Amino acid sequence: MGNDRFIRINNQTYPLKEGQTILEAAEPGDIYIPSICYHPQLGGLQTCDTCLVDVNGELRRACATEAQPDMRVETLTDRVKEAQYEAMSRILKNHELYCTVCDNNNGNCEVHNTAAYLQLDHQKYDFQPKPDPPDNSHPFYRYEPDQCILCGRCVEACQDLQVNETLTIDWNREVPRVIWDDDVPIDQSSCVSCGHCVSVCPCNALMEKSMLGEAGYLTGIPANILEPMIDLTKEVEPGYKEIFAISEMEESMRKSRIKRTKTVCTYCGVGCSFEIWSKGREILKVEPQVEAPVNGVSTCVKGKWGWDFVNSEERLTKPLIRKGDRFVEATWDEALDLVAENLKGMKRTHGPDALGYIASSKCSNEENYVFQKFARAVMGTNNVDNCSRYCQSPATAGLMRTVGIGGDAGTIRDIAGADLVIVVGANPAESHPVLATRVKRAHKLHGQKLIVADLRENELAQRADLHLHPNPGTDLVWISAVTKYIVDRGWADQEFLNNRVNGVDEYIESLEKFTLADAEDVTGISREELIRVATLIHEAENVCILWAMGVTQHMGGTETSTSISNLLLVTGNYGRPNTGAYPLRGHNNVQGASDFGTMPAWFPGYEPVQDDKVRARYEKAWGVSLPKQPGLNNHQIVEAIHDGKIKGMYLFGEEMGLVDSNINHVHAAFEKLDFFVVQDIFFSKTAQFADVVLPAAPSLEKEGTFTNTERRIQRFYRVFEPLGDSKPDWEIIQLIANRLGANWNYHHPSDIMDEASGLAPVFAGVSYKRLEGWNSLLWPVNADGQDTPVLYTDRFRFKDGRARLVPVDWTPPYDPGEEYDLHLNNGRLLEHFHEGNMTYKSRGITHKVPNPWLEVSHQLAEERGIKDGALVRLNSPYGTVKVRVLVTDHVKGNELYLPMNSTEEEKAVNRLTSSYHDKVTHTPNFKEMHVKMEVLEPEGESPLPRANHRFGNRVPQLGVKVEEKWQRPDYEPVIETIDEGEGGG
Amino acid sequence: MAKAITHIEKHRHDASQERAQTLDQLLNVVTEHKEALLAALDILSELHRAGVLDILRGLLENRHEVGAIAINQFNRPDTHRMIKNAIGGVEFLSRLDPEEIQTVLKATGNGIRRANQAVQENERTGFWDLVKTIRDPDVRSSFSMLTGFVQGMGEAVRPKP
Repeated sequence: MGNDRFIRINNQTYPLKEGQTILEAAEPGDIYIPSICYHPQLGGLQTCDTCLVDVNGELRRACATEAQPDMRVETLTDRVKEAQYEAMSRILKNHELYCTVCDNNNGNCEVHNTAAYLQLDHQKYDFQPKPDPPDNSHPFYRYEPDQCILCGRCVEACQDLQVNETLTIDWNREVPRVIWDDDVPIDQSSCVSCGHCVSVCPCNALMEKSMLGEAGYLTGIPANILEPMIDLTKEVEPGYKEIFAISEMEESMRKSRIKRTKTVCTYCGVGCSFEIWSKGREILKVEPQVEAPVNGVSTCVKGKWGWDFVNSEERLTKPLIRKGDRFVEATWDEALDLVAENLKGMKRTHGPDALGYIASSKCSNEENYVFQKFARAVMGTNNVDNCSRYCQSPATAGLMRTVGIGGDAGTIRDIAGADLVIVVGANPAESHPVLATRVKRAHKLHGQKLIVADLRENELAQRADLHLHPNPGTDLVWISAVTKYIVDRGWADQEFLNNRVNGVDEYIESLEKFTLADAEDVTGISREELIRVATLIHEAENVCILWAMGVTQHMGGTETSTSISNLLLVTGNYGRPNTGAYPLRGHNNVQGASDFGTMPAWFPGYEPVQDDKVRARYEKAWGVSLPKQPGLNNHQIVEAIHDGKIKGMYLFGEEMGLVDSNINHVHAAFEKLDFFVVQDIFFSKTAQFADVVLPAAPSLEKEGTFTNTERRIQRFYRVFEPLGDSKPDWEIIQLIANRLGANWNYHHPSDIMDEASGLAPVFAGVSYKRLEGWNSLLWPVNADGQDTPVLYTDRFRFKDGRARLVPVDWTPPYDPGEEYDLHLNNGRLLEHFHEGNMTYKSRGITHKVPNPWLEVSHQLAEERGIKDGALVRLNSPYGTVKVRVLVTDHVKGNELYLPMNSTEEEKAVNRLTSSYHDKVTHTPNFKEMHVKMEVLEPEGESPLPRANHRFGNRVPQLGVKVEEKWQRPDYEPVIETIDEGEGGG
Repeated sequence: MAKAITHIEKHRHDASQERAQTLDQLLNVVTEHKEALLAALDILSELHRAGVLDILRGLLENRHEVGAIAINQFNRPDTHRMIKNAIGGVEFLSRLDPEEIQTVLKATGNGIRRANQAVQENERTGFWDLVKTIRDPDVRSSFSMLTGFVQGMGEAVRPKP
């Protein structure tokens, strides 16, 4: 692409892109312009004035002045330096420089670096402490007004990047400062603890508490020594230059005690990556970087703070062997011998298909690969599955039958770039927080339209242009009715259908039954709203549809997923940037576990085990003959145990005993097993049923790759050595395989990836070399390393390259009978992951959310005479739970919501759910249950403490409102100050 | 039939085994660094005999109290002056050109030698002799140097117009 636009900076010519600021145009030319309030992800905020440069003879802010081809910019003249010096001096009126004893002196302190660059020598304006004490109320971070330079980065990040809208700067008080909500302690505010503000703070005003007194060599000094030391330094300081020299020496020394390791978050499918700063086995902080391909500097409460579990006392550190009514600690040799002996014996006696293998969507691609290889090549069965069966298989199936690839059609960038985003049966603000920030930002700043269809009025629903509340389990009906309306109005993308889609006529015929009138009846969504949805889709150039468990965990989960894909096909919303289908993967590696073959019917890369050619390829590579028939999935394995067909099981990294549906039924199955191996980092509920428990190592203690919801493969590196005698899962699997004669020889996960990419064509170009550092690859990846951010640009993944419209039918949801009068919805909470055995180990997170609660509508609470804190028992035909109530307007009428995040069985929602399931994929219908509610205590202590963001009051505004700073009577533009200085001298 | 159980029997910490392991590791390190360790031990024993270790122990064990006292003693105007003077002195020296200083120092050294000779020879210079010395080119050079110094000093002291 030709580029004939140039800008002259310091008499040199630099290429110029449309819409760039001077600051951005200067950067590639290695011209450093100080810019404290500017952040690449936030833009320039115009609060600090350190970026003043000479533009055609006038002083202008480089961060806010759009670069023009005819401009002549000077960044090094005396006048520019004087202006920048003045701006920096003003900043230091708000910030005491005691770098050597500051925990933020790690080479990346922008206040320090800018002052050093400007060769600031003396304090022009005396430092003035602020009237407010530090706010230490929040468990994870502090705000120190005395150090705050009022640059507003934290406010911008909170308002317009995370879009939680908690922070503002009160410019109108005598001494401005950052405030939370309407000036309440941080811990009592609407702060969701995402960490954005702390990560973007250019100094030590907002800091992780875990850093304080830990990062520096001298920062642990007690206050009664430290304060006089700071005084003394300031008193005798010859100038800042010498202070900087010493602080830079100290900073260099820190490199030998603070280790920075890139990792990938394990708390959801978004796939945030960041650096972990560690000292010994201690985590000093989680530091996200702009370079991170998915999240940049964004994180959520779990990723930023939730890693204490790694050093938990409760970690399994030794193998355990069941002996009578107890587990006894054993050596690895004892445990592995026992496992090998039993697996071998059972295979011999009962045949290879008498064993089942459950893999983990929390573990790496390499671990899933070797596990399916173990099941298939060593043990001779396809009875291997992973927990995506519980959540995402219907979405995968729906996409594979319509467009050919069971994955997101594009990236999170495409979601952010769409004109219209439709969210169906998902709560991204809590379940995929960083992805949700991109939608919230696009909606707030860039006019993106948002439709949310969900039973609950979750955060995105509150922000949406249109919130649909369908009757439970009826999404397929309204989606198909909208599709029919679009076709009827002639709004279908006819050209796209003609050129790229098969089965159009049959499909359109099948839509006949989905009239608006019927849809209104079944779904409870009004005709007007349905038409509005259709119109918004019609008016949008690019549409993305996001969905999750609210769609998939139904008896008709695959059909509803198919109907979504159909709608996108009919409107031509595939194969272009900013369009497509986005099943939001729940766990960090739901996508990767399935991609790398822990599924009963597929080899890695979704090649069928029944395909003779494919099987021959693997048989040749592995030197064995492989079973041809697809094996049993999770659900079928449980049933087969009950039927006496499966006698033994090997499971790793999956709390099946709490998260499968109808857990009483699952527990009964576990009890029938002759031999059960469980591999985990904690002694889980599932492990209680095991014969041998093997201690595994979490992601921070090993290397590997995860694949996020975008199909993006990312590497994570080892932060710590495995705790105690625990081992990475892939090493354990290899040890067992080799005891059974496999003779594997993997020294590093990269060896495993090399083998997988050599065998599965979609991963052909994947290698650890190409994934170094922040690099990532979105599969399919060609052998030359070319990856595929946006799918289907040329062809859909079928032999003829054309997509397929697939007629769908609605399955009415399971109904347990009239006496069960309340609908039970369930899902996640922002603060906890899965059943919570990792996140409840964090004291700070547990302080915010000590336990789950039952959400009850105001209407129902009034009817039953209950208040916040009431204790109720819920009964379904399958079991009971006992839990405390929170009355909220998130749920309506007779609909209840019970989060799944509990390690206590008494509160576990899956004691209530049934074993009914999606017809195609056998994913349980977690979302289809009715219960009756028995009031045990009509009121009590609220299950949710006051220190939870849900009680806060957001303060939405656009950015930091720098205009209010400029309107202050004591504000004088920098230019005036320096001109006066010259005039007067 | 495997019922869910939660009782875990932990191996009692085998203290003696653990100690043996630790000792083993330590011995390996000791063998590897034998020379350095022996030298260090010699130094330590001297420090001990000199009582230095005792003093250090006292300081370390009470470091917070001692630190607070010391820093408060330090953080006083006279100490501030002392430190500032020290820094000022160092800065003064850093501003001087070593070659110029060489010349002056050489001259001063020579002057001192001659002065001493004069004292030793017990020379008593009469008034006319003094007048004569002014004519001496060496003495005149010396005078020019002194007047130059006085002029330079005045230049720095005199308020600028």
